[in-house]
Parts: sequence; C-alpha cells; structure tokens
Amino acid sequence: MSSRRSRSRQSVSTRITDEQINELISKLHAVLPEARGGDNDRVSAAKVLQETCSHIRRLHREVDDLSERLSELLDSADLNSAQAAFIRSLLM
Amino acid sequence: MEDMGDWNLAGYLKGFWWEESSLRLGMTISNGDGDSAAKDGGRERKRKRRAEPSLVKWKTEGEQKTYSSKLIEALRRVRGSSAAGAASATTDHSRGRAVREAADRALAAAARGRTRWSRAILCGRTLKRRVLPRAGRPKPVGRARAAERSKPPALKTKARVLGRLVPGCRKLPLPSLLEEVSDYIAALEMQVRAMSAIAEALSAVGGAPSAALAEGPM
Repeated sequence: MSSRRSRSRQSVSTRITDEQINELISKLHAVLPEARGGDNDRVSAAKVLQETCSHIRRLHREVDDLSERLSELLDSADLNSAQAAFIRSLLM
Repeated sequence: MEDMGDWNLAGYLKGFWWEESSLRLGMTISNGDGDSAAKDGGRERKRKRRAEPSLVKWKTEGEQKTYSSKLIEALRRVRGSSAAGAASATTDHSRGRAVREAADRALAAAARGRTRWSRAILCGRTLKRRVLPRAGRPKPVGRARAAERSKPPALKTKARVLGRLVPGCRKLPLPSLLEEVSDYIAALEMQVRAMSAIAEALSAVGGAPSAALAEGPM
C-alpha cells in the first residue's frame, strides 16, 4: 500500500530508469583517467563510483598543492599590474 | 596589433553564452554560426528540454584563458589583503587556503550558475564561516525506502560519499548527482591546468627578481 504509493510518486516526479543511470555511469567512466580502449562494456557501477571518488580527491589534492605553491610564489614575487599583464601575455 | 584573435574569442564566448542562456529559457533557435561546442549543445537541446551543461567548454583554450585572467586578478587581491594584515600572523597554510578559495570562487563563476556545485561554492563561502545550525531534518522514510530498493546499499553508500565530495550535492538523487560530478571533474581538471600554467609563468618571472621587479615588461 504505502510502497505502491511512494513508487507511483517516484515514477511521476522523477522517472529514474536503470537505463539512464547506466548511461550516465558509462559516460562518467569514459571521463575517468583509467578508461581503457575496448574495455568499456564491463563497467560496474560500484567501481566507477569508487574511481570517481578517488579521482576527485586526487584533483582536490592537486589544487591544494598548487594553491600552496602559488601562495609561496606570490609571496616572493611582487605582483604589480604590469607584471600581471606580462604573465597574462605569457599564457595567451 | 591584430584584434582578430580577440574578436573571435569574444564572439565565440558571446555566442556560446547566448545559446546557453536561451537553452535555459527553453527557446528553440536555429544554429546560425555555431562552433563545434555550440553545435553539440544544439544537438542535445533537441533531445532534452532541460539544459544540460556541456562538458566540452571546460576543455577549450578560451575558457581556460578567461579563467586564468580572472584568477590572476583575484590572486593580486589576495596578495594585497594578506600583506595588509599582520604578516607574522598569517601562516603558509592560511595563505594557501585563501588562494584555494579564490581559485574555487573563480571556477564557480566560470560555470555561470548552470550547475549546482558552482552555485553552492558561490554562496557557501560566506555561510561556512558562520556554522549553520543543522535543524534535524526528518528523513522522508517512504521515499527513501523505495529508492533504496532499486539500488543496492553498496552503491548507495558510495553515492553518498561522492555527494559529500562535490559541494552542494549531498541530498541529490543519483542521475543529477552523476551529471554534476562529470561537470565538476571537467572543471577541476581545467582548474589544475590553469593553475599549473600560472605557477610555471610566475616561477619563470619571479625567478629573476631584480630583472622582473625593476622596470616591468619591456
């Protein structure tokens, strides 16, 4: 009774299908660095989620390290507007 | 000086921004002079009504350059404010944290409010300081039970961990969470690329302080 009511509410409002979820998970798997060519059919959702978590943590760590490095560099170099424009031109 | 490069970049960004904003309004327009990224958005527009954040833009050079410029400006402000305060009080970590927050804010701004994680970053930074009292939210028991039945508990816990990693996505259902995650990862990778480039440029410039500081660029 209650399960039927909540199930119908889910199908009306969200319509989450397993197909849709699998599609999103394989799309995510393609983005991850450990995606091997030709092996993409045997993706398990749990493994993809696990890999995604580690990938995000890795990226967070990289950003933190880069922030530390940038703060040290900023400290030693005096970044006036002329230098900022110069650095921008280096990047462009 | 050739302005053509700048004009093309501005035109591309403007065209992309206009197409994306009309995506949100649900208007259907024909792709006149779209680039490949805009065409991708057009194809997906025909499939879904809901605006899907395109992942391609995080890989474009134009987006990275825009982000780098904004970040450099923000870093100059960080430098200024930390120098104004008591220099002895600020440690390396607090300056690093200020840089990290500036980088995240600039990244969230680059997303132009189309994703949940970016909106959460932009309004979360001030709220996080004042620890918000968490009122006990009654969990919707019936709906949670129905949802859990379709997904095994192992997936559920992993999805919850993932939701905690991405800002603003704790109580998101799985499909929306996966979409936010893929956009967040693409954005983070661009952030890493941009910050590495800035660090390289800064170390190249700052390595010779006398030459760099004296007169500025030639």
